[in-house]
Amino acid sequence: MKIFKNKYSSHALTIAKQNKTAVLLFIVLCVIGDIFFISGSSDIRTFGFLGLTIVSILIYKLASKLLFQFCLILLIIMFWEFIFTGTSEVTEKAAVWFFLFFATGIIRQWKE
Amino acid sequence: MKITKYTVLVGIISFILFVIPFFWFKPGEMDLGGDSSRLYFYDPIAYLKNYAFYGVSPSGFGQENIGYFMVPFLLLLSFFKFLIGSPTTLIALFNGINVSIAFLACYAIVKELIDTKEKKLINAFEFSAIIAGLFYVFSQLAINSWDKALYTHNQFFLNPLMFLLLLRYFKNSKFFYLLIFLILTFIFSPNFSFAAAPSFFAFYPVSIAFLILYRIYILGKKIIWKDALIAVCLFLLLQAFHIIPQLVSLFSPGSVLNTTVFSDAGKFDRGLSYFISIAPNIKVSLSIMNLQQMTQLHFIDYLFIIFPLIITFGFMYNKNKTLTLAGVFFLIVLFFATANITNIGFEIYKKLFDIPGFSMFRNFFGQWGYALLFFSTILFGQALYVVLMKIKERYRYLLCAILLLLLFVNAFPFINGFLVNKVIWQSNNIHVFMKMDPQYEKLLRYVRTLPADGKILIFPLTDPGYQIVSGANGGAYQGPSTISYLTGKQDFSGIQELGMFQNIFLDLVKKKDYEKINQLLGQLNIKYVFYNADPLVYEKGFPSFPYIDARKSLPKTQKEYREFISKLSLRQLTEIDKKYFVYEVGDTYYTQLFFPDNKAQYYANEISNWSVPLSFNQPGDQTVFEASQVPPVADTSFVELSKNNIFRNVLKNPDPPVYLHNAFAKTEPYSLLYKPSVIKEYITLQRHKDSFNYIDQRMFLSAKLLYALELWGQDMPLGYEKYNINEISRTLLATDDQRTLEWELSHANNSWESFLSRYVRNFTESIDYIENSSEDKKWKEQQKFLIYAYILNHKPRFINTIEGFGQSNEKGIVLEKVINKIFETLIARLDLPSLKESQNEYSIPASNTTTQARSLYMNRNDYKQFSPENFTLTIGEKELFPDSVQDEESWIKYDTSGIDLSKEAALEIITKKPKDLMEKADFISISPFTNNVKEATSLEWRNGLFWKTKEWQPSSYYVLSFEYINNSTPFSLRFYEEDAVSNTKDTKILFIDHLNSKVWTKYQAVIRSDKDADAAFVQIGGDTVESPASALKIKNISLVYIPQPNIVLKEDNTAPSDIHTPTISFIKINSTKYKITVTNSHGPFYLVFNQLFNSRWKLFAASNSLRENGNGFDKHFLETFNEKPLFESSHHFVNGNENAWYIDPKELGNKTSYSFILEMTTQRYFYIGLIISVTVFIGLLFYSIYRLFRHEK
Repeated sequence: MKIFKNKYSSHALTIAKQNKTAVLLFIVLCVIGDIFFISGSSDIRTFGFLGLTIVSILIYKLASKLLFQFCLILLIIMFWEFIFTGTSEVTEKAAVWFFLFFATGIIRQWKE
Repeated sequence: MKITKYTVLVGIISFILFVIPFFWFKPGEMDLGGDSSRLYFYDPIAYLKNYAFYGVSPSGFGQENIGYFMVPFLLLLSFFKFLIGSPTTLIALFNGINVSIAFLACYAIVKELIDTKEKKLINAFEFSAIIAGLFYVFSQLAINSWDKALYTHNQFFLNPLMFLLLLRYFKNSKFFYLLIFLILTFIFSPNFSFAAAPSFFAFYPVSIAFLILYRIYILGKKIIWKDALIAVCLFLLLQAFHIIPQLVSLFSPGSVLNTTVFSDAGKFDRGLSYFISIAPNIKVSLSIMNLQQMTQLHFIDYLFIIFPLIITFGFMYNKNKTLTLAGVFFLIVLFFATANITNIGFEIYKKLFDIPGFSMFRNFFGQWGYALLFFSTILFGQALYVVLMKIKERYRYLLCAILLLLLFVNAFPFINGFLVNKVIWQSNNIHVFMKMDPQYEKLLRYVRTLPADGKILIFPLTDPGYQIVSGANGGAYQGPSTISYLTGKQDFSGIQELGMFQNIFLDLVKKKDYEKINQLLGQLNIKYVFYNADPLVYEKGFPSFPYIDARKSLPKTQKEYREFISKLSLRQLTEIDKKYFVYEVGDTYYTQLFFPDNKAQYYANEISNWSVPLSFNQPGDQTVFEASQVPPVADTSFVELSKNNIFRNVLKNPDPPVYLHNAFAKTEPYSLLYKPSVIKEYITLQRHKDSFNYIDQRMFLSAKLLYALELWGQDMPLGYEKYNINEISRTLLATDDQRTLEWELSHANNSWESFLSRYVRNFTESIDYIENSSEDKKWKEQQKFLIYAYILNHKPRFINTIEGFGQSNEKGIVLEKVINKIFETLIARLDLPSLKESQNEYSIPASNTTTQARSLYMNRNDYKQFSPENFTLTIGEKELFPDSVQDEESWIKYDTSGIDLSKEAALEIITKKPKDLMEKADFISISPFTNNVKEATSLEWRNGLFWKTKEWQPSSYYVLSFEYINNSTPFSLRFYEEDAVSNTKDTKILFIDHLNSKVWTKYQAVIRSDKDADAAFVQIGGDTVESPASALKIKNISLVYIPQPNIVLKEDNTAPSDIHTPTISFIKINSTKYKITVTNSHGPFYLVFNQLFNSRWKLFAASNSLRENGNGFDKHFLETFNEKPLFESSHHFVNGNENAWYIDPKELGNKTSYSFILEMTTQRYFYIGLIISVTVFIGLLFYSIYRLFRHEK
């Protein structure tokens, strides 16, 4: 990718690579935070986090399995909320995030 | 084929599934009813003859109704019925086929899709396919749609079966599979018709796309385009018999289908707005778990999480691209079935409604439901295989056992028939399964013997055209009329089927005007009345639906019904089991299906109230033309005088506000397209700046902005001058030079201020436009009252929207105050003149011709209220008096001698002595502890002053006026009305006004009473229960009756045409074809055909072939193919819904006797299509048999 040939961007890439766990944890926390702590839905936020996930997939060459594992977490969150709150806003947000990560995982799996 | 233990297992499961529906029914029971009636299971031949084979509806006024697509399926049912005999067994057989084939097809698909090279563990391979098959038939989405299933429900087994055939073709490239696919599409053509378009387009395009990609990317093969092209052509030819007539109807302007697909009303009002209203209730989480939307959840539903969990686990360990591809398509279908996947996803979905025909997906979650179930199944089956491969053998069996147990427990209410034999909605515990009463069958046989002429009215009348028939087992049929579908006799079973005569009929029933009811029945070509006296079909079994509206006017019990029928001029023809009665309408009232008329009446305006022409007519003298339908010769013309005076424009309770714009908004304020739409709005206004409809355009935009706020206002912020009421109000109401388009665009376009600013500007600019106009004072007053009407209409809608935010919502509290301030200021700026009785005038238009004498009539019912001591009619200076007041006439003629009615003039209603209901107003002070005022119990809260009138007349106009002053505490005026029709005398609030003024202020409100009104109450009190208006002063209070009588100008032709009444007889060949014989014809006349107008009814010269009455197949169906239609240019729309041809014997060579064939020409397209489709079907059938034998060899 041409963008990473730039001096600054390749430096940023190195930093990102060194902090893989932190970046992935950040994404996970962002998604979970969006589900539980932010009311209302915003496409900028949703697609921002999703874009970050896609960039991470490209940088870290993440396998689809990891994305499906995260889908499992989202499913469990959705189920948990479904039991206690029914089809509440939180349940629905978890379901939408499941849809988005599932779609990302499928595309990733197709390319593998 | 090798038979393994799994083959035997699958065979046993299929057999069990096939047998299950046979245990649902006791001997003779059937699950009939619902929108599609399902009577085709009871008597498929009758259904074919009376409904499917002919393009005219057997019920109501006989509108065009294309049900041809049912023909092959009905023939198949008839064949099985012939073999089996019992409709109960026939229903069970088709249900059994549905379930077992669906299972087998899903099982086979999953096996085909799992890569066979990898099937290391045969039990995992077989179990995953079996469980997937059971998942398809036993999951929640599958089991909840079996009660009174529509004919399109065959998609349940057709979807997987057709997919399997296509999959086999795409895998093996054997055209034989396509041939079988095509043959099945013909047999089950209801599933490939326009009626099944939503389910067809939800499943087949997605499935075919999946299979194409599967072949290219998974199998690595090319698509054989030649095969695809041949298959598409053959499909179209096989479906030609219903597609051709549907296409003709689709592209005929004004047809129901054309309006639904292409009009904005169809696309947006019925499509998009419905979609937007139900979309928030559809939950993605439920669809992911394959649960049904909008139903109550049970414990077992929570366990369905196991299915998405297995799918996700399957993907984690998946190495097969087929599963990945299936995943893509599952997500596509999930998106369409739920719509609520991100805001942008929802916006894209909404944009799809711009595509003509997409509005068929307005009920998207149901229409995509089966496609979602299918793709979930194939995804689950493959994923389960991956999971089973990964786990140890003992866990494998455990998992399979859990899944089977879960599916079985979930489907238990389906297996035992509980979900099929539901209680009929809103009935008194009456179930769907019914056994046909032999006495009712006797009645049906009797009705079949009645003559072809004459429609049937069914009592008790329902609301929507449903009929209730109780079964011999205590169950009941609730669905479209059994009389029309099983006997072919045209009938009216619901008040809605009476169309524009519905209100007139109900009104006459309420007034107990039996003579007029007899006349109306006769004029509607109703010759027979069928009365079902069984209390179980009325008050005992169905206390609510489907009689909710009908019961308001019609008798409420069977006892009252008997009494009602006894008052009508009916002759009893038969009585069966003291339950079923057939009566005949007296000949004096009856009008034939075809009748000649030599007089035409013309109404210059569109007729809004058909009781006007009906009351002027006599039977057989009723050819009424209206508006643009000008008759060749008008013997009498009528002009209903326009009552468009200010009293009607400023009603406090308009219902419905037809003269106001009901605008629609579809671009969300958050959308990128929103700003361009605001600019477009600005440009449009600039273009209309000097045009006559500038105010109209402004009001339209204001309605559009209000609608947008109703839709999205809850989420819209209050932007800049946050929560400062005065600042917001001041800015919004500022003079124009301070606010420009740039001001509005510079603000956040999704804020309330931005919307309100533009909203207010529409009003202020309109007011300025009126003030600066050079038009006269009267025009200015009218325009101001029109704007006032918008304000009255919009304010409660704003308040409703804001109240929807919640009581303690800070934004809502601020906005309510801002809105009140805005409207207060706008009303003040309007500077309306006081309403005066003198403003009650009618305009008489100038006559086009001076040769016709005009006379003036007032409706007798209105005249009763129009007491001459209180009111007079004047034209210019001259006072008018009734010419004669004879009791038998519906209209009272006024003496207009000495007045030139041919010129434009104003007819004024002068109030000599206002009829003030509050003349002796005796207000009672009430408090929460008041017990002596009975009506006080129905008030919102008890405080202030209370007054009641019993003189309140239905459908009348009143002006309430008073002057008031209150020092600080605002007060409320509440106006209530009591309904006289319902048993409980419900009190409803007509309007509330919150008033506040520190100086003496005049208040006026125009109120229209309801058609069922009996009494009215006024309550003047504190704004809330805690704040009594003790400092309130009121003077000069009055509630004045404003007469609004129906006044008609009648113009009689000075040279009436000669009287020529020929004799007409006819033979009904079938419901789309009649042979009419005219004798004794000596001059022009109107041939009136008492069926719903359709330009495709055409007259042809008749051949000499002998014809008989009946509904059988017409052997001479080709006789008019090369004939030219006669009198096509003189085919008119008359009597509001009927056909008439102006027949001039000169064009027939001055013959005195002649015959016509009248034919609904859509039927010809069906015949042509049927010949094509049947030929192709037989060809394909033989070719398939040939291929089958060749293959075996």
